[in-house]
Amino acid sequence: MATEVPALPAQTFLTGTHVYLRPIEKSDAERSVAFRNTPYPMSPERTEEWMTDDLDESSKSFVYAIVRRTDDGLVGSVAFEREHYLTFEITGWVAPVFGAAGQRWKAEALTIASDWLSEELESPSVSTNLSEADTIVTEDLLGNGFVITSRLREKRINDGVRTGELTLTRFNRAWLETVGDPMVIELAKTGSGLARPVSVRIRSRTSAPKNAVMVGERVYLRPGTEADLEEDVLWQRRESETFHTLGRRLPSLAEFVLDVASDEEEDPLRYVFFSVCDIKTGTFIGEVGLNPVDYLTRTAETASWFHRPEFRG
Amino acid sequence: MSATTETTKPAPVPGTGHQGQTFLVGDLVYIRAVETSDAEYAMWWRDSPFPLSPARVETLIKEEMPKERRAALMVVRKSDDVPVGALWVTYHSIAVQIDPRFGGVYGDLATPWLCEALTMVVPWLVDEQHRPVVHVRLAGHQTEAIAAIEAIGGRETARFRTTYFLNRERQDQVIVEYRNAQWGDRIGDPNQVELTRTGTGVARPVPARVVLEGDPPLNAVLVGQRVYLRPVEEKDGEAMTKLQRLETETFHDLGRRMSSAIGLTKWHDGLQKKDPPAWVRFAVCLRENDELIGAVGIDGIDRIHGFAESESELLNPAYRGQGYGSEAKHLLFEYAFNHLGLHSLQSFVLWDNTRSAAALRKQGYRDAGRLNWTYVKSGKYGDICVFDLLAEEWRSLPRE
Repeated sequence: MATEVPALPAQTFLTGTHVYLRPIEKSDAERSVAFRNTPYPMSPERTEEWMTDDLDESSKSFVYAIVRRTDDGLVGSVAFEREHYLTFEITGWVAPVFGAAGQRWKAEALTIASDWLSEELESPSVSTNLSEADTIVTEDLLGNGFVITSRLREKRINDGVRTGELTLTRFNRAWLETVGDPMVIELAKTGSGLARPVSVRIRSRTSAPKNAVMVGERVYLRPGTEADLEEDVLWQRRESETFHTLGRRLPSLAEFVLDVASDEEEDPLRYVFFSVCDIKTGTFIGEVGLNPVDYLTRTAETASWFHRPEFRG
Repeated sequence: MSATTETTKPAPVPGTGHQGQTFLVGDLVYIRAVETSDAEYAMWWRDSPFPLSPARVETLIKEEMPKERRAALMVVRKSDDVPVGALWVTYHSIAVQIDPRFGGVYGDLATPWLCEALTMVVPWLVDEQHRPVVHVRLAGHQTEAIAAIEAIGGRETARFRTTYFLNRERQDQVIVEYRNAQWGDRIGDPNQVELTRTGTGVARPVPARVVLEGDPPLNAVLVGQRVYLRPVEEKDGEAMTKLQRLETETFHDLGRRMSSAIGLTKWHDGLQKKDPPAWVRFAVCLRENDELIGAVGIDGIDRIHGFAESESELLNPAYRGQGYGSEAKHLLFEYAFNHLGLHSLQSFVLWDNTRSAAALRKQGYRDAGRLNWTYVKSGKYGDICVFDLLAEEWRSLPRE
């Protein structure tokens, strides 16, 4: 007679007291509101297509469902994004309709996720961005080894009211022993640190440079062209400085053209870039942009790049 | 082929582009249709603040713009043939709408060009092409343009408060109409038609926000006392079309409509495909049994200025007149103002639909004016009453 084999547990890790995390399943589409980190409603049918066709699932980027233990009900999601090869950014989402209970589940889910990333996958750091109004989640994470590493003022909107955005980071203990605590490293500052007067904006010119959007005293902004990209690629090969980003790059023109064409198909644009031109000669000297624009919170990251060294400084 | 004919055509002499054109030529500017070479000046005439490369705009001119119901009438400076702006003309069934667009780089210098262009194009569309009416949408600070249309017989008929966000200031959206005088002789001045009002016109308290004790209904986005909002699903197409067939009232729209379930499903799916969506629509369901009773949504979401139009249909007649619609609308307002961060909402109601107008006032909307002669009704042209609601007003309404 065969010995009775005990049933395998459904899951041995990423489980907490009230919720557990698991990979997404097609049937989760029925609870798209709980699962999708967006205010825009989507039918289960479209969500299923979106999960199959558009959701980025790789070792760099993946999403787990937050599931309640009592009834296996899906209540939210945690998105994982691996950055700079080693570190992870995680984003928790529980549909606002779950109220305060939802915030507690989100806190527990982020704790489970960060424990796993930090202790099991040994990620040097795990960070998450939270609205300052997410007090339940913030308190829980601060009690679980996270520290506040930045605060951006008025970056979020909570219930129609502007609040700040906190970045909470948890550093891996073993890495802290190896490289020390990054929080004690002083930031080297140059310059006076004082804001200078805003340069004059020129308006009502009788003859503005062709297709100019904004005109200053020495430069103007206009939409980019393929010729600009070509020039940018050329000048990147001539770059002598290595500190702007993590070393120099040699991008291909074809890749640039493809990226820009794809960005330009979006409406409204998420990546808004202008070519910066010298007003005297019309020479294309650099780019400035918003990268990307968040139309819900009306915030964006700014970007700038001057490929012509003679116009820097 | 002779050597002479092989040579490329010489570039036109700047300032001669209007020569030979017999109409729509003014002292400062002239009007022409869009050309592919206008792609190089797109920032001054496209109705978008986003920079697109000339190559992308050329594709839009060739492939997308011809499919649209609207056209760009280019405003070209006579002195050098440079396109400095455009009048975007949308042809509705009867009325024509004009949205001027002049790149901000010229600032106040563009005002005379705008005024001259409007005073040429508006009478051309109405008096020469015999259209009943043109509605020009302007910002409140464009007083000279408003005055220019008034000087040729136009008048302001609607004003949506603080709709636009321009140069760090909120500006009203003003609708200025120019009517066909011959039609006026036949059917009279629409402004003389008194609006019939029902109800008290006073906003009622907003239903209290519900604190759920248990789980929300499946896939609910917002939950009220009796109804909740959830995404429209494939199966809703069938329920909606069944309810459409039961309709007894004819005044909500221009008569009743019957759509196929397949068509409705496809249409809703199309709305959800776009990211971010321009039209967000929810199914309105009863909490007691999850029955679908209608739909609410916001259409034409303008993320730059933060406004949109609200829409609703309580498809199941059994639930009308009992506050279900208003409850759903307040959930929609919470979504629009608190989730999407919109600044204001607009609403448009057929003139005779006094019930919907009264419901809007009850929900906090304020009268914003009228759009005359926009549809056909009872052997005449019908008018629309328009409303607006600001986020700050809705937030300060009393709560139950």
